Amino acid sequence: MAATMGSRGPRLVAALLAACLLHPPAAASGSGRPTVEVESHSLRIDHDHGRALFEGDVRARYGDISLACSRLEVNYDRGGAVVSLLASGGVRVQRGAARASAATARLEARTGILVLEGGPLLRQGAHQLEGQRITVDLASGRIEVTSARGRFEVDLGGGR
Amino acid sequence: MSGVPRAAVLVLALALPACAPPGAPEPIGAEEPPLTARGVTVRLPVDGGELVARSREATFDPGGESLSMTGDASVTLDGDAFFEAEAERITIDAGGGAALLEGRVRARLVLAARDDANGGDDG
Repeated sequence: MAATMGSRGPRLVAALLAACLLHPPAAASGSGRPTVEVESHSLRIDHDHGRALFEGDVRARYGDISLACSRLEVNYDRGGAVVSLLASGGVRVQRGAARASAATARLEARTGILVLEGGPLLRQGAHQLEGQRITVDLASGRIEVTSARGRFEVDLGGGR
Repeated sequence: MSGVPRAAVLVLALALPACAPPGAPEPIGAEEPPLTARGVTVRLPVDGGELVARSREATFDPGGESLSMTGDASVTLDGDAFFEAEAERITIDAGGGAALLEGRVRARLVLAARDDANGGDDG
């Protein structure tokens, strides 16, 4: 059975998706700090502004989370660490069976907060959740959806 | 020397012995051939750190404004290598801390530690 939810907050679907998609990624550098591996057609480094821009079939991996997009902007500080990642252009995120898509995705490294905007959609199997903005705490798995709409399948126990 | 880009100075210092022309006088009015080098390491001081680029070969453009590096080309930012990338070719802007990597770009980035991992109150 499929059910469609309105704007009251589809907590069940959020919890299901969060459980699969959202927990701390495992990859880490030798120093214990998390790392991201990126592949693309080109990379422009503008060190004066602490910025690097990957373009063209960008694919990134952060632990067991994979991301694909057409453009990935990386901002780093003078202390030698990447502080934020902004993906745009057909953003797709996958972790296991859970998938997400959006126009943009922004990860703030120091807070571990991932924000999907631009028609964000979380999907796992027949369950899906969409909203104006989806905010995810990668460490805790907490998820916040603004103007949420969801669709999910439930078993009402009517089997014979 | 003020007109010579920083990268040019560095590459000349590190790699010119392997590629210097035999000292024949240049024909008057002839265009300068591009300067090439092998086994190149460029250390470019940048604000707050250093950009290090390496490759098997490198060529200065005739104007000396940029350096094109090919063959196992790689770039590392700062000593602790929080940002490493490799590509088929790298073009270094000799006047500043800019670089363009093209062709099969692969990079490894180290993220800043989470605030709560450093004693923050997010629990």
